Amino acid sequence: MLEIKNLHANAGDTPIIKGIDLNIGAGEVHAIMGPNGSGKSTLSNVLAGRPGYSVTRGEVLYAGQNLLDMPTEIRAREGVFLAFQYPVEIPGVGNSYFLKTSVNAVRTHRGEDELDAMDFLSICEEKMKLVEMPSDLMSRSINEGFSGGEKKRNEILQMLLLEPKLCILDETDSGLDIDALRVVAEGVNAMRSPDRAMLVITHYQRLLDYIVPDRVHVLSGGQIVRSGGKELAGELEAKGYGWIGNPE
Amino acid sequence: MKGAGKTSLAETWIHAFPAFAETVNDAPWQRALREEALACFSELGLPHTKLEAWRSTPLGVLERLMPPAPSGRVPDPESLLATGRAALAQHPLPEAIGSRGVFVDGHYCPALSSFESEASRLQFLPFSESAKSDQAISTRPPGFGELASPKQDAFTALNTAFAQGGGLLEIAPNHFEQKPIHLMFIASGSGELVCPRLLVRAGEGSRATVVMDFLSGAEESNHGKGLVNELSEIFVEENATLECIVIEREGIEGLHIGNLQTHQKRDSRLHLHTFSLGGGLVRNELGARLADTGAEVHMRGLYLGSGNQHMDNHTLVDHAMPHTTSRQIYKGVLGENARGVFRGLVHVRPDAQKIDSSQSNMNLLLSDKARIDTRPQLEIHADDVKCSHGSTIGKLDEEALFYLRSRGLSEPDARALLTEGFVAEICDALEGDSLRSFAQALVMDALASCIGNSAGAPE
Repeated sequence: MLEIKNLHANAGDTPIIKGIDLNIGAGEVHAIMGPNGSGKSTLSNVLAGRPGYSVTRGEVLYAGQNLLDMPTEIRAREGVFLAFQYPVEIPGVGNSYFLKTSVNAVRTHRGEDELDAMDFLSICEEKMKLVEMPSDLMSRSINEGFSGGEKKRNEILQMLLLEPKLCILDETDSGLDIDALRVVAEGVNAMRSPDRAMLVITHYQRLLDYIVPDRVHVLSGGQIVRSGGKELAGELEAKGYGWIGNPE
Repeated sequence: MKGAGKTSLAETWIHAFPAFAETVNDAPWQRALREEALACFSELGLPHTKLEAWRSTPLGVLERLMPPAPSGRVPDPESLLATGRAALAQHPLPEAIGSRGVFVDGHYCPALSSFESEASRLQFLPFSESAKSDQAISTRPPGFGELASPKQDAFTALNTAFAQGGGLLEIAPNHFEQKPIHLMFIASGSGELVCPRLLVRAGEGSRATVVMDFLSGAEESNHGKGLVNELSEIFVEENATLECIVIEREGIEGLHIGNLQTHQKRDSRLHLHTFSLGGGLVRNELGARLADTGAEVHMRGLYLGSGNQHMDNHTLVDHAMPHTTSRQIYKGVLGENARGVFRGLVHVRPDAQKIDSSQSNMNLLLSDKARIDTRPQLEIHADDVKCSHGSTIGKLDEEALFYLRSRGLSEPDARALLTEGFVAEICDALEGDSLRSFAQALVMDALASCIGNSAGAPE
């Protein structure tokens, strides 16, 4: 599903990612852990195509295609989804209108019919139950005045609605209390399927108690310094990040 | 006045006055005021960019266009009617309109108007005898000329001298007018100076919505050519609630210089919305006087410009008494070479303690050539007040743009959605579904041309 080969990338002019190789197959959930400044967010931003980041070496293949050549919206329509660490507040743009426009942009790209207002509403209501999202959040502006937990639920709701093939969760657990974390994790777990890949980026091991990964990678200094099974997360929790050797 | 050589526009107008006054069919009180006002105008001359208040308004365009003064002769009623009908047929109107007043080039058209109300709870009384003699006003109506003085402002003087009729809209005390009163000011595009004049009195405890809709005639070819110099004085009596919506959607060759002055008594509420959507040069002078305690004014404005359009808003809120409240939100979207000016002054008088005032001006520039001059100002002479003000100028938020694109929206769609989101709160503030959706549709149209024309602009 996703093949990252010798990826080097800058944030602005600063080299952050210094040679990452990573393969995620369909049906797999990989976690990337690492201390602050290790390049976790840069990796997710590069994969989603955020302006301000540039790839200096290497390549990324998504379902066999060159992902880095695609504009952001095409990546989204092709099934790449990034759940934002800090979802953006957009005053004046209704959440429900936005979600419907987004779903229909993706459906049209896939050659499916657009959903009308009624169909969209019924699908949306069903998914909202899954993330325990209050219905009044739909009639408000995108993320405006939402609590931290509500914003993250809104991210997961979008993921549920868009049914991506590759889900990237960028520190979705940061700032969430245990209750909100459980709800978010349930939403994510509901998405696990044999034809979907997931990349879960987190600073804390706690999330991985709820979303159990197949593989865990430790990122430090822009490189993967360790990979292992889910037990690696426990080891990190016990020993902290200090014991990881810095690659440089 | 100006030196030798070519006759200036002001001189042309002054010379045209005697012939105008000869033919216009006035009540004696209005005739006397016209003459005084003309003397003031001769004294003042046209404003120029050396005057602080006119520093950024390109009035030079007036000298180029030289709009002739009105002739004073009331045009043939059939032709007024035809112009009015054609404009009404062409331009979209809100679904729910209660009473309606139609003015063509400033002249009241009774045949196209209707003010329906039992027992004269709502009335429109034309100033000029020619409009409908049995209802015309024979003595100077209280309030006329009280809020805008010809001595201080050249365009007030010009309007007072050359007003084509005009009239008084009177809402009786404790009357609740359910449906919006829609006043349409149609400029035929003859190229002439048109001076609509309005006096509104919202009686004690009354509630009403008045729409002042400025549009051009149906002729596609003339693009609303001419100068509309309108003046409205609005009195909101004790405990009354008035919503006033000004829509400027003239053709691209139309020049609009508007002056709206309000006076509020105790515990009254006024909501004033200004939508500047059309016209080549639009200038709004808005003055709100909070003359007694508990009075509250909410001013919202939206200006959307593209091409070479120029849009000005000059507001003055006068907190004359304690415990008064004012809120101002003015938003602009400017594309291509469009230019805007916001100059807002909140004045708090020495005894006006415990007032609460806020003022904000936010601008979105869609091109590198678009320009806005924004100057929010506070002048506070009391010491126990709550005042805030601020202005922003910016481009679309790149973070928000990326967020929308990362959810599959194309870049043009994302830009359009964000721009619509930026202006949404101004339309959303309108009361009544019919009026809101009417304004939204007009705004979306104007916005589409802003966005469309600026689409190729560099980021």
